[in-house]
Amino acid sequence: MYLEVPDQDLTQGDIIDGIHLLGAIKLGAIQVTNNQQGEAVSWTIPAKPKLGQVMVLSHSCEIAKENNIKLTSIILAPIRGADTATSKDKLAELISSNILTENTEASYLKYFYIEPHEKLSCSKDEYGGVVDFSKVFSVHKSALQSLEQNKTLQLQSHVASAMALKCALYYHREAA
Amino acid sequence: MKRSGLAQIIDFPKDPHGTSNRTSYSEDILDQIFNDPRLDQRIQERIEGQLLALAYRERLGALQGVQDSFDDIYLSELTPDSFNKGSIAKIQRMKRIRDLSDSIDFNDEWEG
Repeated sequence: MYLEVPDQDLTQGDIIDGIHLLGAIKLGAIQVTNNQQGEAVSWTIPAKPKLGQVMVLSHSCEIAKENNIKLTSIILAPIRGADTATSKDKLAELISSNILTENTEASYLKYFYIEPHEKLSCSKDEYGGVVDFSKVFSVHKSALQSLEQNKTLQLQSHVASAMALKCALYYHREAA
Repeated sequence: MKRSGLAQIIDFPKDPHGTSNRTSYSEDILDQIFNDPRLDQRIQERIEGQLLALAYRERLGALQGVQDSFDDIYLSELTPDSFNKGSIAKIQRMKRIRDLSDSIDFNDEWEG
């Protein structure tokens, strides 16, 4: 699933370590500070920051250095520990239907399963993790270099492609 | 004690366990200050805050000045992305895949 030696450049499907996880922010918890003129000048969230691993969802072409003009922000999704799945049977089903084919009838489109690896922080009990497409967030393009420096793992290209296809289908699925 | 002209030189005890009242009094004050648990907590909070801020700057890139999160996009400088019609057809065919996502939960800090 992973390249033995990751590239230095950032590509779609890369796993980055030590990122401030910002997905699923509680909008009601945001505290806005106003200046003397009553204009909102800053905001804070009274919650302990969570650092963790994320997967890059941005298309490789968009974050390629030679295409700098296209880069406005970098889309990331948090990785959750598969060991916390409340049903191990469902997790097994998720894993078996993870890579979609033309013959797949049902799958867990919200999640892309990633195999355990010594560099994957959520690999407790060899369960691996899941990328959660419903909790994506983006960071400013100025973070590109630091994301590259914190790159930990890289998916093989066919796996990265399967992940992107599943992500596309999660947003394009037919309504139930 | 030595005398040199008009000045009076007082030997300062070099031994840290010296018995000078002045040194002992200073140490008492310092002990009271540094043994205050509130000071410990305040220092710890400030150090943790500085380390966290440093970690963020190193990991996520320091922002220079005020930046708009939504930079301008110069449409005239963009070129359209090419797309593979086969990929679109594939997605259209596969969108019939039944989504089971709602039937699984992960009991972690994201929930609740």
